[in-house]
Amino acid sequence: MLRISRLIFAAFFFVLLPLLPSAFAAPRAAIENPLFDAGDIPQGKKISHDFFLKNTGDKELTFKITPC
Amino acid sequence: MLAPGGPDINPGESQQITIQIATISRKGSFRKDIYLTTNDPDAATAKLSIQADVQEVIVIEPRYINFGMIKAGATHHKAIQVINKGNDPLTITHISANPEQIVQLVPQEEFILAPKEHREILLTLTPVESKKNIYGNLIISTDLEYLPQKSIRFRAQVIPESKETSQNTE
Repeated sequence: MLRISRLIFAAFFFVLLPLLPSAFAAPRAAIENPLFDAGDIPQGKKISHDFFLKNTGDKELTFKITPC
Repeated sequence: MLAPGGPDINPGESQQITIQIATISRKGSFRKDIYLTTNDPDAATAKLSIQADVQEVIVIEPRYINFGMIKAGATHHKAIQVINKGNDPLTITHISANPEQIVQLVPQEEFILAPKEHREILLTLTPVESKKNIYGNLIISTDLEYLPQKSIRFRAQVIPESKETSQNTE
């Protein structure tokens, strides 16, 4: 009985435990400065700004801009 | 708006998202929110915001002209003010209107407006009987790179010469 318990423990330790991080891996979306204030702009001048989306997670991040 | 979507982003990497907003039809303060949908289980939606205060450099008053009911064959006038609300001199390079056949403008030639200065433009409409409704545009061309043209619309309802007008447009 003790031997079986040890086997189960060993299986968990060496087989299942290494799989746990990938099971919990997830992408994380982080945007630095998500609000841009362009200040005073003369009418007609185009506003252009670069945002940066960073993946701080440990799995590939996919994104899509929702049409508005 | 640019960058409607992108390639997958590997862990630790970033993706540039460029947002462009035209301000030609805006004035005053505004805020535009752009939403991203992601596969982040904790943040399936992310928001990017751009805010600005759009300053009108050229103001055309009135912003819309309605001649109302006007008689065919007669001449009808409306005065328009072009105002330079900017801090620099502004060159009005050309003024035009359509439909060209029935619209006259004075002046049409180039002129310069000093900051806060305004100038009157006279729009004259001589409608022909065949058109019941007239829809047109007055187009002001400038030397501004970011605002080469600004326009306002006008309309009129043409009635036969025999009928009474409901509005005096002279």
